[in-house]
Amino acid sequence: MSKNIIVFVVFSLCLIALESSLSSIIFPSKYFPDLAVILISYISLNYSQNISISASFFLGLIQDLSTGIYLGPNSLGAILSSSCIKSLSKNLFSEQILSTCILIFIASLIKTTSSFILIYFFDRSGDHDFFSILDFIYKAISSSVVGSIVFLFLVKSKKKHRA
Amino acid sequence: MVSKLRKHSSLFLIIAYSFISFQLMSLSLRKPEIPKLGWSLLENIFSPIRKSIYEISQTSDYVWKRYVWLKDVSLQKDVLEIQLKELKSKNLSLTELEYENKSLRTILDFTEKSNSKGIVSQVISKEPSNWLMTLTINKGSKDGIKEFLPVTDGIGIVGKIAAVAETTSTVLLATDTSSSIGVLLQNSRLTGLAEGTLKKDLLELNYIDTSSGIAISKGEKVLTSGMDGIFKKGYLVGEIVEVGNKIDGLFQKILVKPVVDFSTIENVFIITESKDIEIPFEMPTEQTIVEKIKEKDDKTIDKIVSKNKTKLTDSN
Repeated sequence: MSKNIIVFVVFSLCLIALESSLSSIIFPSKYFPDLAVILISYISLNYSQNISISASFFLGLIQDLSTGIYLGPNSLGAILSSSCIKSLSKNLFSEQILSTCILIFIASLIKTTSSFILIYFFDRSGDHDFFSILDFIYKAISSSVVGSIVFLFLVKSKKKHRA
Repeated sequence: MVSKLRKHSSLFLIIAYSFISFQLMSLSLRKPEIPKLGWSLLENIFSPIRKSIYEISQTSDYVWKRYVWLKDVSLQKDVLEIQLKELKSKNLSLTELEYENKSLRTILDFTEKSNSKGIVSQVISKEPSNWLMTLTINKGSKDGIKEFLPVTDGIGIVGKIAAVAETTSTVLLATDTSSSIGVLLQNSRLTGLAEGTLKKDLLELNYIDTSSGIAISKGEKVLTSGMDGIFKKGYLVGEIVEVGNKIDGLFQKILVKPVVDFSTIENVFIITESKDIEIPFEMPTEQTIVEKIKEKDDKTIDKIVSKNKTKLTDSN
């Protein structure tokens, strides 16, 4: 268990570092896929709710720390998106590509929107005009596309492993 | 109570984490140094990862630009090389056409000026031997070519037809040692024979009677005299380049440079019908008149002095 936690922490740190580094190289950072959401979706679909919520909180907290401005918005968004995925996955067959794509899209949208709402309500003095719902949608789309591709590879490798 | 808590543990967990998130948010707003401290700690972990990612991206960018992208460049290079070859060959043929056009235009001008008729022919080979200077042209007896017809390039005399085959003919060049052309000097009006020498590009003027005392100067034009029965009068042969001392007191060694460049000749005109061309007399320049007067004056002064000397000796 402790080994899994260490692996998860290292992997999370690498993922956030990768996201912050690549966002300036490949895409404009606004539309760069939220890699944390993809990981949250994966954990939520494959592990128990308690573990997925804890992992999501931790992942969100690392994201918050990497921004260096606010602590809390991403962690709250991550918890909400994780619980949302968990509840939706009961009604959707998660191994299908389209359903994972929809799940990640919704999770990303919930995460960014809830983070924005939290920042908006807490920090009234800040300028929030640069946020737009269209940006959230674009980010959600790119996350869902990349996430579904990652999931496809993971499912295939799992099947091979089992065989 | 415990079983209820276990049943809804995830809900409690969500509430607890949400509460922590709110608290963290308010804390980060009250004390902005806390998230900054966390950021600096995280940055220490991130920086080596970021550095290696940056280096990988730079290397991949380099590889892409230097190797993968260059694949297209090499393809473009191949296409451009083909185009260049095509353009070069086009340019070559255009230059050839330009030369041919120029040479034919010269011949056309010549036929209009001299009012002569003839056949235009292409030089197909040049005799490389040192002893016989000939050209082979692509017209023969089939085209109406006969032996001893004069050949010109539109500027000056090239030579005469020496041998005729059905489709080709051989032209004996004016510079060949066996060739001789009856010539006339334009200003001095002296006549003689222009013969080929072993010096490939020069003709020697022979049988010019200089006993009359008429001066022959360098640069004087040499034209055909029409006395050899082959070349009509008035066609340009060359220009005097060297005037030697009198040999035997009668003849002088005079060398003529032909106006025709035999090394680059490509098209020739074989004159079948022609008339004599009127040779304009070139007026002597002011300087030559002054020199001649001076020469005359010196001679008369010498004569007077010698006469006086003889008179003085006689009286003594």
